[in-house]
Amino acid sequence: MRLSGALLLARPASSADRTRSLLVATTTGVAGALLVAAARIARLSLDTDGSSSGYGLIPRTGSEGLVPYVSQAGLRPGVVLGVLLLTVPVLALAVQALRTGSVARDRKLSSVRLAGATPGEVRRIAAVEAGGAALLGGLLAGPVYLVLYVLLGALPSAGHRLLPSPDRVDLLGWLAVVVLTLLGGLVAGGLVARRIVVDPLGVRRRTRDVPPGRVALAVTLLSAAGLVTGVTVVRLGPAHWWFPMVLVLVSLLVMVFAGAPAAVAALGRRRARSADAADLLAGLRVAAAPRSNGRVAAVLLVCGVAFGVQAVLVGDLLHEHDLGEDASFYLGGHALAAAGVVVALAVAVVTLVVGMSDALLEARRPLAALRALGVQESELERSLRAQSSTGTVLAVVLGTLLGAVGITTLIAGDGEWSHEAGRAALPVAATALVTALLVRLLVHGSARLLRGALRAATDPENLRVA
Amino acid sequence: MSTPEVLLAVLRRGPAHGYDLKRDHDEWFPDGRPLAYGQVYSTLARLERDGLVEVVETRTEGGPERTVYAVTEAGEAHVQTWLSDPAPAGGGSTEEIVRKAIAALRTGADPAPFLVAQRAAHLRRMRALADEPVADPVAGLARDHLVAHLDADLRWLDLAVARTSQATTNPAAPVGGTR
Amino acid sequence: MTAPNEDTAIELVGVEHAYRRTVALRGVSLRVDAGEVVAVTGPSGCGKSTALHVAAGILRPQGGMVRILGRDLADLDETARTLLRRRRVGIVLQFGQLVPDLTVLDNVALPLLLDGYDRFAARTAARGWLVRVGLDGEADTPSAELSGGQGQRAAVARALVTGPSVVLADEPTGSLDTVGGEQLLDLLLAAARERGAAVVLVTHDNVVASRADREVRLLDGHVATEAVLR
Repeated sequence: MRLSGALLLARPASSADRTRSLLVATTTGVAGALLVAAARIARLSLDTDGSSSGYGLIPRTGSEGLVPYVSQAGLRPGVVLGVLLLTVPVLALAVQALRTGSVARDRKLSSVRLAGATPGEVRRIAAVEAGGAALLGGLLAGPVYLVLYVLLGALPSAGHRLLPSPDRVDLLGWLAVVVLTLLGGLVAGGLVARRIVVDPLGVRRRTRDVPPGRVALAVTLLSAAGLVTGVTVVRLGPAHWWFPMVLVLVSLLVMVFAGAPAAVAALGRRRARSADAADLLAGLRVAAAPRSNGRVAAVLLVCGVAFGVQAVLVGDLLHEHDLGEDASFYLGGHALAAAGVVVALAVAVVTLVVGMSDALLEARRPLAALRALGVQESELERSLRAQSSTGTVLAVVLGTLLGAVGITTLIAGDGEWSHEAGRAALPVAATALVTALLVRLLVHGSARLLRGALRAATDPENLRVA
Repeated sequence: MSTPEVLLAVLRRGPAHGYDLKRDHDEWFPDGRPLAYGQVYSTLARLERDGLVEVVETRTEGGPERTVYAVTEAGEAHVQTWLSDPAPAGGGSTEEIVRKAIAALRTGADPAPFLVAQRAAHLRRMRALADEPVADPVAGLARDHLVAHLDADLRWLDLAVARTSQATTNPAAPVGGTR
Repeated sequence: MTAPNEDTAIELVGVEHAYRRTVALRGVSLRVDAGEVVAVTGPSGCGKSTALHVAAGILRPQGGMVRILGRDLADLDETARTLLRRRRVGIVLQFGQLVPDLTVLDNVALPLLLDGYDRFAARTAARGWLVRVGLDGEADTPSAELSGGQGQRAAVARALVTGPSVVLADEPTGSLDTVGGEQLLDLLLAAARERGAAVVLVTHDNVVASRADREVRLLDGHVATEAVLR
């Protein structure tokens, strides 16, 4: 097949396709910009002479009025890590965006296959499609990075700047991002087409997600073991050894993302045992397609962990009454971190909304049938709420507790655990409650936001959709 | 008309006299026209003359004389041939198909060979009709009418297959069993 | 290597296939000669469509042998099967074969475009077939907006556009009224006869079945009866 043929078939045809491509490009662009920014901050360590490598409270001259957390070499890795972690929810949103409309796209690729396209040709079409959006995202990363710089590096007053001014090396970073996203897009596109490539009728008799399998379970268990090992080594090993901390973080991320779909599916099955029709429908839908909720739950769990850690640290801080003028420094740092987590949380909720609206679109025929059978719209909306809260509220609470227990274990000396825990109990409980309420509010708000989509999905006209 | 063959089929279940034959026949085709007594006796007379039935008993139990008839070997062979031979497809054969199918089912014979042969005969006729060129649209209409009726027959045959196979997989079903 | 003998268009031997919970085919054998028209009939769920998918090489059966135009599908990889199908076999399925957001014209031109024809030539050929199936007025309509009957016309046009040696059609007239269905079937059979192509019609419509040279009746996943109609 000529390339023009592949482009003809890959070009986004419907407005939904264009929205999706734009969302993939934007999220990839933001994630890329965050990576470039993280690299820029990390590179400050190379720029400096030895004078600023200590814990001195006075910012080095010539560091452009950067906020101390960035200008001080000892605190900088924390900021870099924070920025890197912020890419996780953004990437989760990118993956969700890539998955939206997947039923319709699978059907399209399957029909192209039935029209006589070979597996290689279908793979090429899918790769061109996803690769195009990803390439656009990679190119967007540059401008987005500049916007970030203006917002966080140029506009704030001296001493509050989070980003140093861009330099020429950033161009290389940008180029790397472009190459990485393009490759990522091509691979992702190829993976999307996998089922259709093997079997042109692959999507015909299969409408459920493939349930999370043994591989996911194995990865979850392995990363849980990594987590425990990491925590143990951090406690026992030499101070300032960064490797176990990285192990703890990576294990945590892998564990929650690998384990969340199965956990969410189990919660869905439990909910489906309910006698209430709305709960039953919500549970069945979650159990049948747990990955969308799973991704969101995973991000929310990590957010919860961050909140839990902060709750313990802030509680600890408030017990030391002689903070004096350092208070604004420490609390400012926590506020900054909390702001980052809230951004992550917001992105997670957007991911949820994107996933839910896609689910509504895909389920429009059964939804219209339910409506035609006499199920009230308010009941369907309640079901939608139940569906979006399955696993999400629990994840953030669980994360908070996990983070609190984890950090307490890390900072408490021998025999001090119960003392530390007692001190942290109140702030942790308060944090858990507040975040749970916040997530619940956001989730219910998003269900409300989807009311229009729900109404469109239950339109009797959808009964005609094949 | 196939009244002689149907009466032979009724007799296959066991010897009977004229009155029983009329009653059983009317029971087999409850929505059809009832058989007249005169027709029963004249048909039996002809069958006896051709050696297809024989008189096995003459009873007088305090009433009118009753002659009990039975199928001869020749009669049995005649019924078998009749059943295995598909009715001519098209043009008033509808009732014939029903008679054969019911007769086969009622006497416990396997209806499948008949149904299969009849289906093929009908399809062949339909194909022949489709292959013939038509002079004008009106001539086409007459053929369309015939094709529609053949199609209706085929659907009835399908239904017969479905119902009887259901009856064999589900012995509780009342269809197809002999009383 | 000698060229395969193409006297037999389709050959299934002892084909078995089961979906996750239902057995669809229990040892189906079927042979369709070049130029022959075979109707595959039977009640719903008897395995007709599955048999057609197997014969088209779009469904790999779990057991048995499949030959298309003398080539054993087991000897071909997925790409080779697809190319064989694209160039030599025309398929009309019940639904899902038209690419929803391509226009009707591009849908019909698609097999040619995939085969490297230039856009103009492919579209010219496609337009000719759209005229024949009576769909030239809908050439620029996205196929998602077609009615069921129009979709079937477009599918038949696409199946014939490559000049196939085998045409496999699953209820090709199921969504059409009597006259429209008859015309489409006439067109399909005439095009096949012109080229000496074999035709397999999967149908539960007796009138459609009666157009075949032979009827193969499936029941519960096996061949129950066969009848020559010619």
